[in-house]
Amino acid sequence: MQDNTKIFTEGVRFSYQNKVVLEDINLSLPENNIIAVTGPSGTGKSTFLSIFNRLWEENGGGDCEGQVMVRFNEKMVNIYGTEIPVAQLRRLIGMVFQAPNPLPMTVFKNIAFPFILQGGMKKEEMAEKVEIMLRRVHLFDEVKDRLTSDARNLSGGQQQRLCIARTLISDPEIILLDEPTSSLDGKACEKIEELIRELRENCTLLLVSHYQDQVQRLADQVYELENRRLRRVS
Amino acid sequence: MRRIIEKTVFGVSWVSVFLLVTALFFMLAYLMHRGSGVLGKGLIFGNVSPIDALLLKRQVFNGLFPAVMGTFALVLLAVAFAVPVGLAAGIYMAEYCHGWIRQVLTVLFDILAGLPSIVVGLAGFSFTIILHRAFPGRLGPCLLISSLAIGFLILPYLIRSTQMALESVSLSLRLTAPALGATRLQNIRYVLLPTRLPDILSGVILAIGRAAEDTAVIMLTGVVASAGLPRSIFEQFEALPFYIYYISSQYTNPEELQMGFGAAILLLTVCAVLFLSAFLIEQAISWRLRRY
Repeated sequence: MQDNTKIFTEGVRFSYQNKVVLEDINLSLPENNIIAVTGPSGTGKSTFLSIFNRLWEENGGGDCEGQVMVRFNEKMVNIYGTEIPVAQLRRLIGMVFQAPNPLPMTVFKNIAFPFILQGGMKKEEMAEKVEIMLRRVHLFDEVKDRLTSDARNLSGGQQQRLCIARTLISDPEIILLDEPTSSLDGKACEKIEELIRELRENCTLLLVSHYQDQVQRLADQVYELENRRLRRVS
Repeated sequence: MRRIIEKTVFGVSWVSVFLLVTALFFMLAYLMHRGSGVLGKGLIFGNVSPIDALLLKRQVFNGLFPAVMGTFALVLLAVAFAVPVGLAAGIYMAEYCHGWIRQVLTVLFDILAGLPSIVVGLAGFSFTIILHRAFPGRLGPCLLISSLAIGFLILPYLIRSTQMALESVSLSLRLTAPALGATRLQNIRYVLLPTRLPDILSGVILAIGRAAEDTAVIMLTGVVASAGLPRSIFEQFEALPFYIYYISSQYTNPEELQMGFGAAILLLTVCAVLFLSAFLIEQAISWRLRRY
């Protein structure tokens, strides 16, 4: 394990309802990189991502064995241990889903939602941070007059950038991107890709994508998921 | 061939809907035809001034005012008892209950939903006898027992509608809040309930309709033909469905039967008011949940 290793896994095996989905996953991923995972549909790419924020636990029926370590504050932490609570882990390891998933509330509250969950933050401070995040995802000018409108009325591309802003507001160190452009048109897709490149400066990004050209444009490292195992491609 | 099948299915569906709407229209038209002649303040307030009746200055003896108020009280109390329990049980079934316990409870709630109302009424009656023995002279058949029995009757509708509403939330939306660090309770509070509130309200409306129309349960637990306005929940009461049943089985002249039709129109109006209130409450709760 090197000093810049952000994610380290050893002998990870994931099964769902007694069926092995992933096995022998051994990784050492550097920080501030975009690591892409490709592979045919249904091979377990999304499941692979859910191992890092323990989101698979929400569905039940899964079982994860092996070691999954992440570096937080210069210290490697076993994310399945007792050192870090799940809620905190999920704030530090954010996730952007395949299809935009705005919550049934206003644009403002969608982005401020992680703060609402934690409670205790003043509305003025919240508003300041929401504006910063909207500017960071290049959405502020488009929605500044619609902050109190239902977020579900935004366009697909705007919704996905809103979801990214909502993930970023917790200041995550790792972002899991599960085919974040697959439901968007070309122009919206370009904006999201540009954003992903910018995010690399502060975050480590795990990108699942089946668009080879997108992977070539963005990724520093590429892995392919085949027959339940990960293989480094480039 | 496929086109013929598609056209046949469309035709049968259309005819079914048409027949249903026509039957509903004719039923309402027939009710209005038979009952509209007696509609008026005399039907509700008799010879008492409406203001005096509403301000409880004078008792109404020859009008349906006590039955209208009794029906409102019965339905509101039953819903007040059943909604919190039904929603909590529905949330438990959808979000917390898994494995064999869930299967057993599902079967139990299905049995409960299929329970004939007369059986629930009999259970309520037995409960009344037990209470009467425990508190002689104080508790007998009354509004409280009837409301509890009706509440028990409508519980399965509330449980199933809440459970099905929550289970229909898409997986992607269901995982959104947990992926941002929400606990299960926060996910229910901020995402699942606000998203499915209209569907949950549909269950409440169905339950209100069921509570307002049932006669078998209240007959055995507290309703009487002539009691006036109940002064407390421990007193007997009047209700429109019982009045309709009573008058249509015991009428001695056509005018009395016409009063029964008039009471049926009043019962529909009471239900409409309750449905509208439920809708307005849903709108207010939705607004509050999204505002926080």
